[in-house]
Amino acid sequence: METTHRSLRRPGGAVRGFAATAAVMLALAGQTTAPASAQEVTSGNDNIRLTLSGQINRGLLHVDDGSNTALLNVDNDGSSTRVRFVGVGNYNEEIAVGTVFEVQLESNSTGNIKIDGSAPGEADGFTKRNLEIYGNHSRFGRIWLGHGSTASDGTSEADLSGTGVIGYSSVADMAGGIEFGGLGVGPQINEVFSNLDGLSRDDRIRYDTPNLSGFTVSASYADSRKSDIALRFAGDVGAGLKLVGAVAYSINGNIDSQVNGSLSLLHESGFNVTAAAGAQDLQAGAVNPNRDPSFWYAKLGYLWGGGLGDTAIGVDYASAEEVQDVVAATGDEFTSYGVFVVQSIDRIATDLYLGARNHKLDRVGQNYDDIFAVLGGARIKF
Amino acid sequence: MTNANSAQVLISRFKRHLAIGILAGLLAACSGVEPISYTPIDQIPPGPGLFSGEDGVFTLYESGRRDTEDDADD
Repeated sequence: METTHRSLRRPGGAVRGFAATAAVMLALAGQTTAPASAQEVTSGNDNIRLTLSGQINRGLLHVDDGSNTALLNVDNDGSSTRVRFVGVGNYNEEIAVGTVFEVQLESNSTGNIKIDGSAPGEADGFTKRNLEIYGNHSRFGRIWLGHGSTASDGTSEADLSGTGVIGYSSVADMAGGIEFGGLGVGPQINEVFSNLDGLSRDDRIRYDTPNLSGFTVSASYADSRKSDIALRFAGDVGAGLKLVGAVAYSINGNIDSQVNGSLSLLHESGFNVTAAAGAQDLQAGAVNPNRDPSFWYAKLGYLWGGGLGDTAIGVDYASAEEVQDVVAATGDEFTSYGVFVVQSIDRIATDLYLGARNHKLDRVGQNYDDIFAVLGGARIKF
Repeated sequence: MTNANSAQVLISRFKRHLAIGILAGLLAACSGVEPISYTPIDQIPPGPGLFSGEDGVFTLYESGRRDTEDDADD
């Protein structure tokens, strides 16, 4: 057995428990040439690295739909509970290949749960996020293949506020499954609001250019004739300002095309502003093509450091029109505003958060009460 | 013009200005910038982990030196 490569097995602790999984991951990547066991992980390949990371994000959600109230145990869909394996192998100084295996495990996702505590469609709460491989060249960029972020994924969600775990442009993440008008009466929040965040994650092939002065261009193609292109920026632009932003154009088969983008500025004083917007152009494949779906979002915040870790506060406002793909949605106007606080505790890798959000839907011929939600919880990165 | 129509016109203008602002901000950023590392908010945040320590990840296996960037953030 080849013994020239060191093992990082540590006696006892959590790492030993992961050793078998590590061996499986290496085997899947085709990188294992030496026998591996649960006792010792070895590889005949040089210059490889396999890492595990993850987080658990749980909270209590209070909702009031105007008819009923409830207090629900939830997994915060804004930054879900998940586990992630990343494997990287270096071919030479310029070329690397990698594997990403990331799944989320949500029990009572805030994106699904209804006011009666049921979470239809959740099954065991186990869903894929990234199941992909990539090849990276330091001068020519990176190609991804598999299930993962399309080029436009995240382009509505640039956010430097520090309150993203509880409030960001995807405002339906806090109580997405709650229905207007009461249980089983009207549409869910996440049916009438979308931040039009490109093509999300999908089975695709994607290309990213190398980073050029903070800029990256990406393009991807997914099944069902979906394609997109995006421009991203992340940089320090001087005057104490950090800026991240993105714009994207995507085509979703014969259903729609859309333009969307976002921008977030953080001043060294801690003040920050975030904005996002997007619009869809519907095609014949939509159920109700006589709509003009759009949204916009704005957030003001302040972030400061302290003995425990960063503290961030923010207020936001969101508006969306004619998002739901049903005839009744023509003329829909959805608005929402929220207020948030996040306290990071660096020593225990924990973010404590609390946020409140009001959701309002104006639909022709209907008179729905607002939905009010308060979510408090903790995200612990392990 | 009714109040509702006026409001719609204002919102439409705001959206247009917001889109222009986003593009202008990105273009203005072209000159004299220092690239920064940014982790999208739907990703596991950077920094230490409760059990994994400073790295924020458990290194299950590592051999040799890391010659190329190996982050997989997308």
